[in-house]
Amino acid sequence: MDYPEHPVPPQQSPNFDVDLSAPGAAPPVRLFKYGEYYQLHPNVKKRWMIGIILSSLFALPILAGAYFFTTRVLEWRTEIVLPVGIALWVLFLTIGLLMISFEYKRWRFQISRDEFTAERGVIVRQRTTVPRLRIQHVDINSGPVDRMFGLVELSMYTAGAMGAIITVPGLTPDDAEALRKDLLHLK
Amino acid sequence: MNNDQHADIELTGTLHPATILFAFLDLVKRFMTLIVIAIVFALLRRNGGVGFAEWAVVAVSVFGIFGAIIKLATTRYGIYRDNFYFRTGLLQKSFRTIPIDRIQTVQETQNFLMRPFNVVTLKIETAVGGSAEATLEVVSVPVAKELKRDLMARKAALLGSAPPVIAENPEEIVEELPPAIYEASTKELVIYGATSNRAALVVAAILAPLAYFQQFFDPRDTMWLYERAENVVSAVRPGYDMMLARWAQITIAIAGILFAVLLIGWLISILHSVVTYYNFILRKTEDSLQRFYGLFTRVESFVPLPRIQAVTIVAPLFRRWFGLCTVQADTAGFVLDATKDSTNMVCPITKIDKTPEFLKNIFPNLDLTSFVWNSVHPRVVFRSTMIGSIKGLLLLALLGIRPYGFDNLQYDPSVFYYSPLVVLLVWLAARASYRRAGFAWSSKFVAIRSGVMVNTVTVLPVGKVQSISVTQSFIQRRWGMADLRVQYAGRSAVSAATLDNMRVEDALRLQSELSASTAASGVWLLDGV
Repeated sequence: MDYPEHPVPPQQSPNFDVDLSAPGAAPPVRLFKYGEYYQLHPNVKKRWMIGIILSSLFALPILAGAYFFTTRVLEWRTEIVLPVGIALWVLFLTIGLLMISFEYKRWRFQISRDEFTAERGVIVRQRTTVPRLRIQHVDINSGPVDRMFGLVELSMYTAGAMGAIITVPGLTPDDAEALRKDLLHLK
Repeated sequence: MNNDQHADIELTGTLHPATILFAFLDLVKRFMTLIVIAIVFALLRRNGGVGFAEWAVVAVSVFGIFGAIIKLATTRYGIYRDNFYFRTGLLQKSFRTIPIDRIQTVQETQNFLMRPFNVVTLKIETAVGGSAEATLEVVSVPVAKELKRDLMARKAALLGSAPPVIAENPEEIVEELPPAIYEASTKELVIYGATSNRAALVVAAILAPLAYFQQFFDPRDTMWLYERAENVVSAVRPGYDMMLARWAQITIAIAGILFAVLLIGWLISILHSVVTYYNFILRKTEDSLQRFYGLFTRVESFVPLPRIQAVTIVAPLFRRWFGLCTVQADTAGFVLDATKDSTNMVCPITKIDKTPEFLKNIFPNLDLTSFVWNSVHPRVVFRSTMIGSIKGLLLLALLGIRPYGFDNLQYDPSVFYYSPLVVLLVWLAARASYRRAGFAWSSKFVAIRSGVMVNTVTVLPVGKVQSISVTQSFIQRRWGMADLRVQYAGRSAVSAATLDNMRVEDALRLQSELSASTAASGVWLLDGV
């Protein structure tokens, strides 16, 4: 699935496809053009970077346990285990950090009249389509790290699913609010 | 969440004081593993005293009882205007508002320990999947019945319909039964039980490698294993003496016990099937399926037809030998009026060739025989053969290791004589899998079939589709393949029909067309109206 590249930044302009001359039609609060692909806010790269560094720090106690097990129980040589362990930790951390920009390039979403589509993934690519009438509710969440970079994430839920069917990270609060209102047909 | 905004809503409903007892019993059940470990450690200890595990059990108990008291003291519920409110928590406070017209089921359950206290667990659920939106763990039966009646009456008033009749004793209701569309005989149930359990396969899978390694083991050469084990135990408990035993004898004993246990498990499976589904009768009314079954616990459950999201025909290998299969129906939310019924089963066992006709009872517009099946990507045979062969040859390579002791590992390359056989078997399996896998769709239904050992066909109406995902790994991108996942609102968290290694153009086209058809079918509602 080779998607055409759409390096289009989010556009803060209303959608002109709506027929405002129809009786009773009100201008919708909509900032995303239907049918266009949008990327995430560039700050999400910094947010992912912090996340990967924090995750790698949380992995340290597990690595310490593995070090204890291999050197004390299995009696492997400390002068080999320690540098190899550190090298592996640095390697995975580096790969994680390098993947961020690829992940950012691949992550994009599109809203249309009938459906919401998200495409993401570097090694394993995924394209998920959710018919808009199937969305039961939408959450907007922001953790402390998200807030540091002025970001929120938007999760959408369908019936029957235990968790969110799609979570769109790296949105500004205004974009998330506009997306939420559009998805739920709110004014 | 700011709870101050709800300060004006006075909630008077409380849990029953027996909550503390049941919360403690629940805790014991959850930490059973830890308790067993503590008991084993206590029995093994020679010098007396109290160890870490025992302290852990005491700590868990104390915190558990404390938590139960907090729950009893902080949980409040009540009805205010058109909403049911549920508040709980001391540090992590939760205040939940459930619009009464969104409530789908109010379910009472009572286990045998609850009967002496005359209490039940009351679960209030909406259409959102997962656990119940509000669970009143322990409330007295009169309170539960009154609350249920009140909620249902208010819901009916809000929706402008007649309130349902909630009988004190369901046996008092006598009504004319609708016609039976399926009845299972005892013989069929025995076949169902016998072909459900995989005990024989498990026995073979465990005994075959054990029997293979047994010939190379000399108990005298396995001291290194004990030394490793001693190191582990010494690290945990310094100074502890290991009890040495002969590995070969232990292996045989374990294999024998496993075989006996699995054989008994197989017999129990048959017995369980007969007892559970005894006299299984499926009746059909205009808008629901009614199931009656069970020998000791007689279950009567109603499956509203509009709530059925998908139907799956399951035919394991052994069952196919008898020309039989099982039909399951996945419903959204929980089944109304069910007591302890949690099965998707609508037909434990039936003839495969009668299935298309049977399915018309559930989806009248479905004609399974008219489906034109599309195959997956033909390269899947090569891909699966490659992956399977690599795994098979790695396993074969491991079988070549002859462990005559820690310092005497020898290798027997003759095992690779079996390589062509492994590759041939893998290729045959891959080819069978390719020929079986496929998809079909019409304007109203989509169907996916897969599985060689266990054949499954999942059929779901297009209007019940919730989302569609297409996934590609790196290799799949190179070969133009993709995996498709069609999610629907079944009762499981992973309710989805999946098909791997489709042609990418087929997957994307199906995704696009399904999405458009789904959008055109309108808003999804639990009752499909």
